Amino acid sequence: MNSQKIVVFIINLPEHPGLLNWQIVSAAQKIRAFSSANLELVVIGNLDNSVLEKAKSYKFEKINVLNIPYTALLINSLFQSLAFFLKTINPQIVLFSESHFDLELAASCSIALNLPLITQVQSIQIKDNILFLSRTILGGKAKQAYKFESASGIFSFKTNAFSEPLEDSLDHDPEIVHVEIEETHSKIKILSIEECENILPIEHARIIVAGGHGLLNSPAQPPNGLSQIEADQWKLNQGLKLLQELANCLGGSVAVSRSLVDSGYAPYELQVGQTGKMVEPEIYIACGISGAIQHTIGMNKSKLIIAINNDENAPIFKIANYGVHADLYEIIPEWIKFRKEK
Amino acid sequence: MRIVICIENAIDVTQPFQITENQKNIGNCVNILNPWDEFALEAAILQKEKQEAELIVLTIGDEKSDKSLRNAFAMGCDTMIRVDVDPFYLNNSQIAEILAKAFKKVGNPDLICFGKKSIDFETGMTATLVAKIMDLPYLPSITTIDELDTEKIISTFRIDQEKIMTSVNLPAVISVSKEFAEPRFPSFLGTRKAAKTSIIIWTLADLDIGPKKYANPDFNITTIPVKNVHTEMIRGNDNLEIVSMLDAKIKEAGV
Repeated sequence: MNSQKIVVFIINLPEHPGLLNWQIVSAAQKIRAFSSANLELVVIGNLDNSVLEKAKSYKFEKINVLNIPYTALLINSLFQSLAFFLKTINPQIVLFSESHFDLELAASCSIALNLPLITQVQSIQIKDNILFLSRTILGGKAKQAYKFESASGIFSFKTNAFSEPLEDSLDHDPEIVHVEIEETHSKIKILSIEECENILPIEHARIIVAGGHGLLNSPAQPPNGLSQIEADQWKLNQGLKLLQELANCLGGSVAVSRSLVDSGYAPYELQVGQTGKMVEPEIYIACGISGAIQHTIGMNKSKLIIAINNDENAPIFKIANYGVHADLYEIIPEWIKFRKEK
Repeated sequence: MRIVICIENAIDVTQPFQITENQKNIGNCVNILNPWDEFALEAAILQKEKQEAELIVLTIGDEKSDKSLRNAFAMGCDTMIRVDVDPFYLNNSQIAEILAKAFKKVGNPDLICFGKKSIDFETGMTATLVAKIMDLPYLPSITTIDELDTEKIISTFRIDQEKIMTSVNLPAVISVSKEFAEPRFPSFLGTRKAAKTSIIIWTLADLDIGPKKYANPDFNITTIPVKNVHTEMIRGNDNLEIVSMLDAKIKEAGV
């Protein structure tokens, strides 16, 4: 076990600060307690001072810096030289976060090192010298726990499954190695990169105010001369604005159920549910959402669920902590007013 | 143009299922064509409507997968292939390895399409692993195919807050996002044709994969107990009273 190595990958690109995630170091420390391995860091991008200080405080023995530009990650032109680098350091365990780029690197790593890849790991346990890595499967209804007597593999960890690691003193000097990575010819040619409308990713929101089909029951009268579809779109926009206002008051984000996305009323990025996003916010406020299982799979892990619906028999009330049997168009404006008056 | 669509016969997680006593498998479940794969099928069928294309739908699984294959066929595919292995105990890379061999045997596919992930085990890594094994370019979760001919595919995908348009020489591996298009239902004629068409079955030996003894599953599956929720209905004399109670509840939650 002496020469075992745990390698942690982080991505530090100044133009994409959201990719930097230190939570996996907590996972690495837990696994290290099991295997007493050396801890090595791979920095994709820049080794700036703040990254260096963190790496010192987390007691990494060695830092490998792979100064790779964003576009090279995007067109995946590094596989061969990355594979070569990985083989030279030959780790038994490699850990990743779950951004798109992390997962792409993890896949490369799995193929290059011929190690199994386990994604979306949510918890780590050690019992009787056996390491268990668990992930949630089957729409959140079951848990799959992988057992290891001696750990090896490529593991990626669900965002927010682990908290930031504790920082230790800085009296530690890791070895720093700058690794030359050569781009090979990529078959992918980028034609354009366009910034999208800035929607806060709902999976990171602490509070979600979600709207469903009930938003179409707005009492407001749409302007004259609209077709039925246009009138529905108008009502829905009014409804979404209202939810956005409440979300702003509470410091949260707006999400929607599938029917609004399928009928083209709301963007897909906002969809919660089986073919949308799985969210686990502190508070989920479901407004005019009936609570079909395809929707609740995506949100039933929320810590506190509040449902507002004018159908007393809506299944959403079965999973909500608090229910209000009323018209959302009466409750939400009142709630906004209440918040604003305070 | 030859397009292969890879599908999964998934466990319908909205239906009841049982975990076997040894905690290694799932029994008594309902299987469906993985909903995410329907978007990949739709993307491929839309291309066939625009140009000469042969659509091959392929899966790894035992005979239980045939229904999903036929469903996919009935949407508008031409050929069905099943690699006869139970994928349950295979890990990601083993599945990708088998698929890569199967695509090779299909004979020079121009485009290999996947859904974004599976609804049951949700790894979402198969497409990219296959691409890396076959040394093909991979385009993740594409939302549009802007141009496709026998030479190249121009398509758009989205990563975080960026929309990225790329041109890629074929062959290529893609996964298709839900935003692409609403999948069609199998047609009546398609369903009849699917029932009459036989499925091509390949064994591991057909793919030159030796009789590897895959290790026993090194995982256990356990049920996550359903949160027993006691729903408290909030009632009040007027809306103001209701919202002040709701507001108090979220404050109690520490937010």
